Amino acid sequence: MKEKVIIGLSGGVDSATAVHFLNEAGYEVVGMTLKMLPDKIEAACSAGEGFRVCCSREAVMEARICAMKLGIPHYVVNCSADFQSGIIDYFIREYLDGRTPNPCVFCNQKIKFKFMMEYAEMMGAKYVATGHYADTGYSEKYSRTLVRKPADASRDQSYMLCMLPLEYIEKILLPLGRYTKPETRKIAADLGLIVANKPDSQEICFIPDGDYQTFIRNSSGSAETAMKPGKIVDARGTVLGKHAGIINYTVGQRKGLGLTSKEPLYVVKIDAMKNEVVVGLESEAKISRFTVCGMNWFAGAPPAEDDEYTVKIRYKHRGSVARLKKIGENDFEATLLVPEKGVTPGQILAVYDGDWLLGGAVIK
Amino acid sequence: MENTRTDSLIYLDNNATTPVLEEAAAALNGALRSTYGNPSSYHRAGMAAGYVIEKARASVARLIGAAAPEIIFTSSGTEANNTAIYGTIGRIMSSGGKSGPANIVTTGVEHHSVSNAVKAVCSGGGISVKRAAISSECKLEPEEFERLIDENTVLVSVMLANNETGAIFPVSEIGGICARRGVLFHVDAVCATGKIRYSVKDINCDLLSISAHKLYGPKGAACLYKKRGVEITPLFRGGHQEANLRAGTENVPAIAGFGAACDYFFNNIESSAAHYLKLKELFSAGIKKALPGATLNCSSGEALPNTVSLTLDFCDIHEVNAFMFNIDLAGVCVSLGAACSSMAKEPSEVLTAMGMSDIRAHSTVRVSFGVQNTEDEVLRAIRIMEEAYGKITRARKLRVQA
Repeated sequence: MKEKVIIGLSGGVDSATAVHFLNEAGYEVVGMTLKMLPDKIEAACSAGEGFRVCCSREAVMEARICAMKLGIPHYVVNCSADFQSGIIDYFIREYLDGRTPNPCVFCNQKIKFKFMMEYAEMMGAKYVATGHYADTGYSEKYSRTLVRKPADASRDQSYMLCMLPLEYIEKILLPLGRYTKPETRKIAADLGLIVANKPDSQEICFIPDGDYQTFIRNSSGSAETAMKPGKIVDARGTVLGKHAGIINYTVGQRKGLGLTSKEPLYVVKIDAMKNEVVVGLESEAKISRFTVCGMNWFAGAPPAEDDEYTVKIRYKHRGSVARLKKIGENDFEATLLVPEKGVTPGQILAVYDGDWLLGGAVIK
Repeated sequence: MENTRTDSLIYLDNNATTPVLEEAAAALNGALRSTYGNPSSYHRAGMAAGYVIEKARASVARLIGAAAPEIIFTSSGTEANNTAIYGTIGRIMSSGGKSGPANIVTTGVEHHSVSNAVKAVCSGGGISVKRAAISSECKLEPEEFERLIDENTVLVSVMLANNETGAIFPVSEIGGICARRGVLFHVDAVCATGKIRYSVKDINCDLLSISAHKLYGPKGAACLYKKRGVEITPLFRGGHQEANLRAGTENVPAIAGFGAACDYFFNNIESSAAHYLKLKELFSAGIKKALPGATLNCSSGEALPNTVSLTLDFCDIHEVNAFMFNIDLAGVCVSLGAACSSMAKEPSEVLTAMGMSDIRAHSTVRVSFGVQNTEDEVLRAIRIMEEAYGKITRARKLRVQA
């Protein structure tokens, strides 16, 4: 009897090609597209020219065509209400609180993998698969299955999986872990998949034009303090200028502050309570010690104080060396061996040992 | 690798559409190959195609007790319903036959091709809609129409049988009321035709819609019965086809198949209905034993012999989905609500109009039997549904424990 796998199909080239690898490996593959965008947002996104929306009607049809072409059934599930309350609302709230959220990491945790795991349970499927560029494997050192970086380092999406519940790790299949994006596209083209040359999707699926400020303004109304102009100050409280509403700023940002100064100034803090953007010199912007909370740890024994880990402080971060010291039940103090700019509250810290993904936590 | 085969499936969704009868396929294929002419052409190729259409028209008319000239071929049941609604309202409005406010009387459980057309007609202002209530036992009281129809009523539209529940509505009584009150009466008979015998004379209707693919004919052919003397305006502007009421070259092959399907049911409707009923009773008895939490809807009143509406005791929409996916993976095809709204976020309006809660409406499965189904298929389907249901409840227990 073949093992059953549910694979999430976005309508893109990666997940469609992943179906082929699972077919080849002898699984019984069932395709599933989660419709996450609320109708209103989908309509707004689809109206814009050149926007690619992940779970639009068009993308669902493309997923269907690929599934039929590859000989697997394909089901569509609507979870837009959960996506709105769990992801979009969180995204807006974080910005209003002066933080910089990562919706994809939490979508994987709360929506994408969660729903597919629930369906897998109800449908007797042993595994859930996606087209992420990440790999899984058995780590001798940690005596368990862990996520690890993929063959295509330039596409590494393991960061996006760092907040997945521990019990999911043994149940996920990531067939693209051993392939590069060009290889995937080539195989998709050889298979005659219509999505072989489809452009890559946007970073934030519900804001395809990338203009998150307008999105937040339209979603929450301009009455919010975070939209209102306020002061730009330095660490001593000296007023240096005016800001256009804190949602427009991110910790570590240098450009677009509208300040004149001999040395470059960076956003070092966003104070939502005072409606202030605090700026400082590079030396002030670089920090080594910060707190992370809600540590999600895959690797057994919790991080030891003297161990050194490679950490990523945002998705495209190259990685730095850090130590982690436990300061609360799931809270840790992270110390970067070399201070860095852009340690941004709300973003996710992913913890690695070499290629192995050990866990993740939210930067406080 | 591509897989569009359906021969291993247990297809129990015959209210959504039906497989094509051998007789209908043969007629369709014959027309597709031989009578390729344009029926509007004067020459013999055209004549041959025209003859195919007129034969089919006679067959359709015979099945419903109409005269051939009263049949207008359309492309779909949706087009027939839209022609009935827009055509009558357009006629009344353009002829100035009505001044002042007007209204349409219908029910809350019509197919979207009626309810949305009525909604659109009324959105312009000047026309309002009144809907007769349906009881939770799927009953529609004719007296309700006596009350709702007033001097401003221009059209009454009621379906002969509901596609989601199978409930048969008292259209003859309503037709009598409409005739007495001098109001046009349209009947959507798309779901009922081929399952029960009726005559447009007995119903006393002015307009009635039928679609070929619901009675084992091909997709792409349907018709609107229009009683002699009733005037309507066409939906499309173009050629003179179908007595100037449906412009566009006729779909000759599909219409040929439609006629053949009507011939089949003219001769076999009672035996087909007996076959459906045997399967329905076998299924209803078996499923009640297999899934004790299931409720059979509309099982008391008059209903189509082939339709079972079954509400399962699921906790949320995802359990319902997973159940549907499980039985589909095992080869059983049924519907959630109506086929046209499957996997929709909103629950069936038809079921909620009958007073069902959202989650109960979401959890309602329609099983509809067809001429091709066998007792063995029904028994296998029950077993598959039982297994699928078991998977959902086991997963629920695990979730609750966690």
